[in-house]
Amino acid sequence: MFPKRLSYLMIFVFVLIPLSVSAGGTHFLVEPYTGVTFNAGYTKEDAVGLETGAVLAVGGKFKGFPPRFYLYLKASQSFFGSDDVFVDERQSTGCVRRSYTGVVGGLRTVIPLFGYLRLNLEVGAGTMFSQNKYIESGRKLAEYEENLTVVDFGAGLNLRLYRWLSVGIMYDYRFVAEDEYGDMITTILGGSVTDAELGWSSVTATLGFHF
Amino acid sequence: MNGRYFILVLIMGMSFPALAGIDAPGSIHFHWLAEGETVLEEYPDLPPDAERFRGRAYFNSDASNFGSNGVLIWGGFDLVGPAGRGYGMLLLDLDLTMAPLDGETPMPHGAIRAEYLETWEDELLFEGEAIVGDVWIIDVLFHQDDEGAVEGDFAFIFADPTGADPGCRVFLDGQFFTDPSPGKLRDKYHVPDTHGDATYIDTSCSGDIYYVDDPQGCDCGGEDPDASGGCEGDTADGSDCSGCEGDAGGCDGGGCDGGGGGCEGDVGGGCSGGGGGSCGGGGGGGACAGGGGGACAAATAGVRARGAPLRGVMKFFPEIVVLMFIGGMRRRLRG
Repeated sequence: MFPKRLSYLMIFVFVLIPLSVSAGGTHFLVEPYTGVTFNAGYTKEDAVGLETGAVLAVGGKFKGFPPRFYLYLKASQSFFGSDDVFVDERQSTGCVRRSYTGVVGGLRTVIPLFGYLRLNLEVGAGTMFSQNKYIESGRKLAEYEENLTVVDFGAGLNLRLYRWLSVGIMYDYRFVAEDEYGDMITTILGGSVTDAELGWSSVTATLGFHF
Repeated sequence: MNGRYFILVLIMGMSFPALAGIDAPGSIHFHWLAEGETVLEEYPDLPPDAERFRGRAYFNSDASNFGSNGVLIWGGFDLVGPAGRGYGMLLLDLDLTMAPLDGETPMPHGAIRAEYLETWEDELLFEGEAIVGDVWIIDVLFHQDDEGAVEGDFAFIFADPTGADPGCRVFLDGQFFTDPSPGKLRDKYHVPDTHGDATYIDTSCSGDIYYVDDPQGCDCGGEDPDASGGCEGDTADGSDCSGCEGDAGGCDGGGCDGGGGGCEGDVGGGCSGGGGGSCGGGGGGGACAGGGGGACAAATAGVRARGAPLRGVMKFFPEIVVLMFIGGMRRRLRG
């Protein structure tokens, strides 16, 4: 599944890169970021995780039209650590460990606001590779890995300090865009199918290098 | 072909379809008995007032030790056992490629891993492994993604192999099924009942549905076509043959008429039948937990999908387009 999606992304990037080239300014961006991520699904779990990653982008502007357009490829890693969840039906505490590796590609629109302040808007899609582990009473009851197709929306503010450097803050919401009937760990925790409708939101600080 | 392109094709082409592809909730129903002191070696008679338990379950191929062709079933239920109030958890891991699909012939024991736990307030009250057990698969729909479904029956006796927890736990007349069930999915995909043959659904590319020829071969039921020994011991009448039933220590031959070696010597054995994946006859050494890895692979490789003739092209269509594009760009740069 993943290679097929990756190939779609490659077509997208290779075909559209030439269109983004325009006169003046910088066209490439490397933007590492880090921040916190919140589990918006899996309602039995109250996990807050740490997300870190980087954005590679290429783009530019069209003459006479202020917004800039970038095609971006975002790689991220989220850790939710060990989340202890009390299970009512057997008065036990289960330990959930989840982590996610994501690769998302899409379009970023950069809209100048005033001065060197800009508004970033993103829309993209990609895949999330999730690793899930559940331990209870000292026993590992489930461990599995999944590939999830996700859609990503983002918005944020960016301040261009120098021609080559910018800082910013981004809010992202990412949700699973495929049919899921539920989640094994959520079921073991006593949850229902609707407890497992999955999404993540994240708030991150960004440091952009432009060239 | 340029070596680098070949590697690219190899990497991109590594999206082999998996047979099972189940990720769904469901239910388990069964009769449950607890023996506080003794370990039973065969199924007891059910008391007339035996309570039928119903529990929640979840079915996940990604969590299976048999890989994507298997399914791990977690089943949980409230109970009052010898140690007082508790919560029972059945963990059943099945290799579905080895499953006869007639609902009467039990799965080879090499294709089954079963554990049972009872917990309460973070304490493990009972932990047992299957000393006797069988699983009968009634229906299964394989799916390339997560939307597969399975339905089957089971019976088990669990005991603690270390002897730390005395007694045993018995599951009789057990049933498990996903929600949606295989029947509901057949309706959804308009797939006719294939009456014991496996059905593989692939709707990811062109929306076509593919059916799979019977992958079960001769294991535990039917006849052994080459009599090579690959399935020896399992050629007796299907429903009565349970391979290693009643054998806690490793196949002493009780159970099947067709041979005292019902499980012994079947690891990677025989199987010259090839083709449609004959021989699922796992077994292997001690406690029937072995099971021919080679036999599994043979059964999987024997599966043939029927469908649109362009399926192979469609499967690698994106990769072909990317390669053509890269090739074109390189030629343009050289020019």
